[in-house]
Amino acid sequence: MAGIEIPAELQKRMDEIGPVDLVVGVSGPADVDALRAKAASLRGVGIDGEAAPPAKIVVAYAGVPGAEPIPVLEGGIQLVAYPPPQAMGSGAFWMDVASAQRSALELAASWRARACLVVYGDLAVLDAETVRPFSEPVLKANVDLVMPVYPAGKYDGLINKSLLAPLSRALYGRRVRWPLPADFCVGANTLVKLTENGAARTQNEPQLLWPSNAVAMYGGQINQAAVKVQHASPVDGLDLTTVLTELAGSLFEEAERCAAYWQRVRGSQVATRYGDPCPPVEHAEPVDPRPMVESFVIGWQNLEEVWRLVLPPATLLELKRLARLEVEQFRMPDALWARMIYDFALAYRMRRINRTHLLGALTPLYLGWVASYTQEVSGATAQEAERRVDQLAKVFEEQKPYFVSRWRWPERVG
Amino acid sequence: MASGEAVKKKRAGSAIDPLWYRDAIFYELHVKAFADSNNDGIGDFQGLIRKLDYIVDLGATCIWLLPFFPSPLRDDGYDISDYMNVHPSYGTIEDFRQFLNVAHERGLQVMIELVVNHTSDQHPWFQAARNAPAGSPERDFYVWSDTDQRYQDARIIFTDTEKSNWSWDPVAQAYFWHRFFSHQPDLNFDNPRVLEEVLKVLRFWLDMGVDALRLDAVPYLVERDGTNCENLAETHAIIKAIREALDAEYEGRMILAEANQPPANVRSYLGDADECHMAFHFPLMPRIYMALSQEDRLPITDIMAQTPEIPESCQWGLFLRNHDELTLEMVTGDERDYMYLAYSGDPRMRINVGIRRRLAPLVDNNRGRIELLNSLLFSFPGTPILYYGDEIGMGDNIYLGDRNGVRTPMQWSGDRNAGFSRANPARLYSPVIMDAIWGYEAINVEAQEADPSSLLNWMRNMIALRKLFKVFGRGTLRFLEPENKKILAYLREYDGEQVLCVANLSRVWQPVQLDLAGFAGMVPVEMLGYVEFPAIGKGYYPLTLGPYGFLWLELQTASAGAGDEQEE
Repeated sequence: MAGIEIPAELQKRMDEIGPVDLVVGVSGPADVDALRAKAASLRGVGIDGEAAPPAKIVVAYAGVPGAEPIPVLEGGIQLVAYPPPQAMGSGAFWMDVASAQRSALELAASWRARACLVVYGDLAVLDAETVRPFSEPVLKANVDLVMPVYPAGKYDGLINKSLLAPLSRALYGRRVRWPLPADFCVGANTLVKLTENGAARTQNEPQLLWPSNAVAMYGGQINQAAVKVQHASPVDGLDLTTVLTELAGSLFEEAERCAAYWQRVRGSQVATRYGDPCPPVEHAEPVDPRPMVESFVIGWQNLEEVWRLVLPPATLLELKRLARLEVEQFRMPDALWARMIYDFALAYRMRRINRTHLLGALTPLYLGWVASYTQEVSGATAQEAERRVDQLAKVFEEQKPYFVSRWRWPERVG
Repeated sequence: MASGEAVKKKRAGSAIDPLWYRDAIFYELHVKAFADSNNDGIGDFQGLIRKLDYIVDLGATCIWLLPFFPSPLRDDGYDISDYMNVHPSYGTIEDFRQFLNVAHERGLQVMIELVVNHTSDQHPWFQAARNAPAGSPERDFYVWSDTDQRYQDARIIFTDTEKSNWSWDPVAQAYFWHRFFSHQPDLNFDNPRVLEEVLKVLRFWLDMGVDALRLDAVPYLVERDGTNCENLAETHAIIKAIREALDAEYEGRMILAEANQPPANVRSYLGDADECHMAFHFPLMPRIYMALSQEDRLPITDIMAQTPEIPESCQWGLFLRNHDELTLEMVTGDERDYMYLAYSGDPRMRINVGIRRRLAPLVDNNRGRIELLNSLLFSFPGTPILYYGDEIGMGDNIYLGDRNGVRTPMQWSGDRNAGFSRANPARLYSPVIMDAIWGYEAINVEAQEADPSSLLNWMRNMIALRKLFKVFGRGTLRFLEPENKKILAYLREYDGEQVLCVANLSRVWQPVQLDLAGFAGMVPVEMLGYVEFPAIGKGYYPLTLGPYGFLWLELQTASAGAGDEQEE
């Protein structure tokens, strides 16, 4: 089951503390002083109704067990350090986060906790008001997973909006806004599922964690919690291709592993949202689509040969037409974008070319989508833009038979 | 434990699912024939390691290795002289260990041979036996007699070469018993020490991490006067003892019975899930070919009707061809004559009681027939077993002796020696196939990998598709009975999955009306292309299939899936 190696010191602490209701796992190292201050606010996070005692909570962070004094916070909240995962420091940002998330989950699974709330290292989520919409559905209503809905402007999180969320929704049938979460909460059953080994004992390649996809596969209940916090964007300073490679590559990998499941899923289910809706974030800064369209056109000129290995002739023809358009006229149809993502996922599976090169060739297409989207929503409110993104997700669902068909009989026709 | 005794942890195999073999795709190969790394003309484990990605890409999940143990090689390695080592031509035990680890890293399971009905006459046990006094423990490892008249009801299996199951040993001054070649004396399982030694061999390989063992020639372990010496209760007791030892110490492992017997007898080798986990379905294979040639489903439906239910944890092993002849022992005399006429025009194609040809030559290199037969292999209840080279439609060489014509080097490319070896061609363990139709320049992996329409790519797609649906490995089977007997139609069902398979055994177009009344309202979705067909109504469901065409249709409810609720 759990793969974390628990040092004797930590095991001793776990034995002393005994059974816990909620393990709050910080995904990565944390400033203990800041953590102490934030964690203390968690007292009063209840479990079984008004008359019941407050939940027994442990806050765990990556550190050296026993290296620090053991603080017991007000309300009986305990702090423990768990050994940092070996994969941390890989240089791949999300892989590091996923490794830390897994360690937190494995610790909670070893502890047989009733729930585990995984929080991002900036601790922004760590206050009772924000934690409650995550933990209460799990502890009180046996919901299997609560995913976050972060406030976002219309130009925020575009890789998620254009690719991660709609592809996850179409494949796994759950309308989850942020399928690659920085914060989420799982129940005991999900803890077991997420920490058990994969199909074969020897296949332990590091992977990002897509909790809602995993929970969808065993039919678990997924809720979403509206949170008012925004994490600092981790992509600043990172090359776009690197980001796309890590994120899309992981989701494509997941699609290959879970093909037997998602090919049976039709349509999608709502993941009920709890908490007050986040106020829309209205951005005033306009986005200039010109450099992105230029990147797309350069991509057409330089990468056409690679695209030919991935995309069918009809798609290439559409791209050729797009490359001739003036910037103001540049619009990438949703169906075209969805089919291209499906074709790239298929080429990833088929290993038609080196996977890094393949995902690199996706970047100009993505920039083309962004140029198209930003122009479409330039005059829209955040809510209107949100509806636009939802429309894209529906198109991903509509185009799913195209993907299934090609997955089952891959030929570059059409 | 109350007594304080330590609980011995069972040693797990490489697969998580203990029933992994029910969903597996086996790939049978001979190390010597697959890839030669040191250019001595003989394939070896290092060569095989280099080709593992090919097997993974094909979609196979378990490699079945033919015997690779030290042997005089008078029966292609089934005459073993040391059970716990590797034949030096193929590498070392460390090479095998490396191969096993690399295979496991790639998610492949590995099955090897446990050939314990007999040994080579060069095995130290036999050499000790023949030199030991009669009645001594050493002599008692084999079956001896002062006369060659015992067990007269036992048939001779290798009819082309053997006249008796007894041979005189001048050293021992006694006859010894052998069901196969005279250089392969049968072990005496009435001697408990033999089973002890067999279990040592079993543990040796399982401790190393081997996932499965094929029990060779399993019906013949024990002999009794007045019987045909096959399928005896005492033989089943030995298999139960092997299984008990396996279950006591290991998890996730599997043993497979090679019992070329009628279905009811083969069934007995699965016991009450306390003998073998798997057994080959030998009688099905010739009947598939017969049905194809006669353009009539009856040979298939008839043999399947005779096939008994098996325990939940057990599985049939299905194959179209293997390293032996297409055996005709389990068909009637008339059926055998028909098969010889239909599939072995040249007498050199026959050996013993069977036909020594590969899949593609058997069906005249007709791509439609090859695909149809594979569609049956992949959709019938059982685990499909592919024979190396058949995935590219390799040919055979009927001018080579014994069954060597179907054991020629794997054809990797159009390079020298088919890319199998860089050795001098004269040094190869077997000549590569070189004629214009079947030769390596026409048929090879490299060319077919580059050709999107090749048989190899077709096989890859079919295997990948099959692996998406557990129903094929685990589901029930029910035949439909349409009036048109050239059409074979059957339903597979498992855990809510329902798949309708329809196959045209004829060389010309065929219409069919299927009685699908029990599925009215459901929508058949063609599985290869994910195309919805018209919904099933209350009347007959009409279909038309092209020559050797087949359809796999997943029956879906009109509103199947995760639902389509609206956002609240």
